[in-house]
Amino acid sequence: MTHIATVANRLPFQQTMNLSTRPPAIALHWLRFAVAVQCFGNAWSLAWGLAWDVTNPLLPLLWEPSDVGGWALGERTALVVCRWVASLLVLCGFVVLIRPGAIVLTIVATIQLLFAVAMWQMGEGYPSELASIAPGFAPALPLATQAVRIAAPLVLWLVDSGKHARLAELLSRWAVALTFAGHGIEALVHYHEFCDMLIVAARKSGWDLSQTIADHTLTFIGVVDVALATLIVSTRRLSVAGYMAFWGLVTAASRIVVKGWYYGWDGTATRLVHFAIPLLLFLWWQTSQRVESSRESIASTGELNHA
Amino acid sequence: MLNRIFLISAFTLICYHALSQFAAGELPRDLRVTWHTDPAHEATISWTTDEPDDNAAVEFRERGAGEWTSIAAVSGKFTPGSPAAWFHHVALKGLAPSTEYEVRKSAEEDSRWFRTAPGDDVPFAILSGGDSRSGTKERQEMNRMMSRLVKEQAAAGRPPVIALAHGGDFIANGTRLDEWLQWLNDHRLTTTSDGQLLPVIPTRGNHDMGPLFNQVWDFPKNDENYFVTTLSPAVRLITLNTETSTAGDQRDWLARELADIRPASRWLVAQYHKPAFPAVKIPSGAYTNWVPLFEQFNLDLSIESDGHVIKRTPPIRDTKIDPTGIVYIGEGGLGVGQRTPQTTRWYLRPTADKCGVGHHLHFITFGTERLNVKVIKLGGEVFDDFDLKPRK
Repeated sequence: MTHIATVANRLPFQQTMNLSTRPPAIALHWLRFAVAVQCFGNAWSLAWGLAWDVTNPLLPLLWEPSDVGGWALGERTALVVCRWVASLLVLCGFVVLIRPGAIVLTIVATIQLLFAVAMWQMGEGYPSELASIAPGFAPALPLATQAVRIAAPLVLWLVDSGKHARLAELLSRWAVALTFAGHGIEALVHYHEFCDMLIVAARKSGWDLSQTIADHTLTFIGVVDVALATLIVSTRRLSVAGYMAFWGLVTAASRIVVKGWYYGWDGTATRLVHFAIPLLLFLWWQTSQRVESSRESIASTGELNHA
Repeated sequence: MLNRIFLISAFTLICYHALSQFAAGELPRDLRVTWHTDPAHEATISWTTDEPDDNAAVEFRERGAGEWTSIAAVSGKFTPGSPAAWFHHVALKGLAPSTEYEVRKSAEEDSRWFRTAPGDDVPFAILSGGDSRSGTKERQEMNRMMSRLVKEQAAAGRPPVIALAHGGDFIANGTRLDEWLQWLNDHRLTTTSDGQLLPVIPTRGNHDMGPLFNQVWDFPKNDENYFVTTLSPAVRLITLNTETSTAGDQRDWLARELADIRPASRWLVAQYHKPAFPAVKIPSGAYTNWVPLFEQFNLDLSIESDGHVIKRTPPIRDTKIDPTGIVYIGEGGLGVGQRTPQTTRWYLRPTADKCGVGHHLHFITFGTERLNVKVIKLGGEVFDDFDLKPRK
């Protein structure tokens, strides 16, 4: 693993920076909190939401017949499995809050990966607008849009262990890039759910937003998202990570704003890592830059004294 | 050695080709009818071929009388998808209401017939249902049942069944042409033994993504698939699309249409795929963006799909049970596996015994004094039967 990280750091696009071994404690606390909340949000969508109904993509995968890609377990068995997974996630959430470990965080990441695979297999979680443009590519989009949610528990494990800082940073950057690029593509094709979120949020603020303006706004958001996705893997600009953290928080919170607490909180909870991972990068890079600056300052002072 | 490799490769290719042809099944060459906005005067006749046909045309006449008139088809290749197939659409216009028309592709082929929607305020019925995307055997059985219902209704002299309002999720993956062709093949089973075609009023579901939907149902290329069908001078069916923006242009259009058509409509019904008041899952954008308009303009009935259950809500207004409110029915049972409705939800508790599990369709009869809805399960059992009165 260290070898991969070393190789990755030699890639030509990696801006030189002496990354400190661990991100600052506040970034780790945020990430730990976000991963725990992600577990609770997913558990709600699997078992406890809406009078015991399941809004999670895992249910269709388990329940749907095999002729449409499901595992044909039957409704009763599928619901039982969903509730067991939900219980496991709640347990994992508390463990993450108390003392995150490799096993628990790998379980969380694996379950999140399973959700993305479920979306991919069952043809959910991507814009129908994209199906008109790129029908072959569209179903795989959830693997990109869910990347941060899959990576967040692994990043927490890697940085918490203190041994794989480079790999954790690399994983964070690529996961954020994939998620922003995926959402950027969705915005560029004017995903109707994003469009409606803008219009409904504006309406709730007493502002009448037309679909035309909403679509133009989405085009702008899409261009910015894709540009940020490119920048986050090619540079280590604080402004890029900072803006991504801000935007991750805004888009996560928008679920509650638009759908209300009852229908929207789990959407916000599962997306809190969209804020926490870029925040981790921001604070990590900021600390590293400060350390580097002070080292340079000490070194130049030393040279002056020597002279 | 090379020869052997060549022979094995050729044999493999031939086998693959033969198997893929077998898997694709027979092309849906039979005629079918699609209705959009004015079914008393217009209808689209469609069929499919496995190669281009520059001379594709349909002949039509009033049933059993008169000269045949030939109209050239607008044709195109289904894109994307395989196997290669071409659609042919003939838009018949200027038809007479409540009239039976015979259609055929050529003099060598048997004709089929369909009935245009009424031009007068007379009773008639439609079938309604959604979610035929999986369970091919059940889908075929449901189609056979539709054929029987159409025939029995005519034989008994009751108001005729004039169309199938499909609530969406025709197939599992809307970008898969082979699935569409299989669906169209199965749709042939709705044709009665004497050749009566059942026109379809299509709704786009979340699984019907991609450009093939518009090609199959003769919509313009980038059409958003929301429209009003005038089923009779007193009955209008609004088809909405939950798979595009529900809050933007479609909502503005809906507000204008409702204001325009409500005064002249005794019965005003909406169909769309993702529910506002779901029996499973969570409410779609229909709840936030359309329900206030439905209530403002006193919609009579709302037909939903997507949940794969049998559902009927009590009348709802302003998120409360209210006798002046709107009844929501659904939620899709034309083949797809059925789930258990969550009848503990506030809007299903009073009608819990009207919610259930099983493949089904809604048989909706529009009369002058009442609108009757029957839920008919596969096998013929009437699971639910209720009336609505015209709004004052």
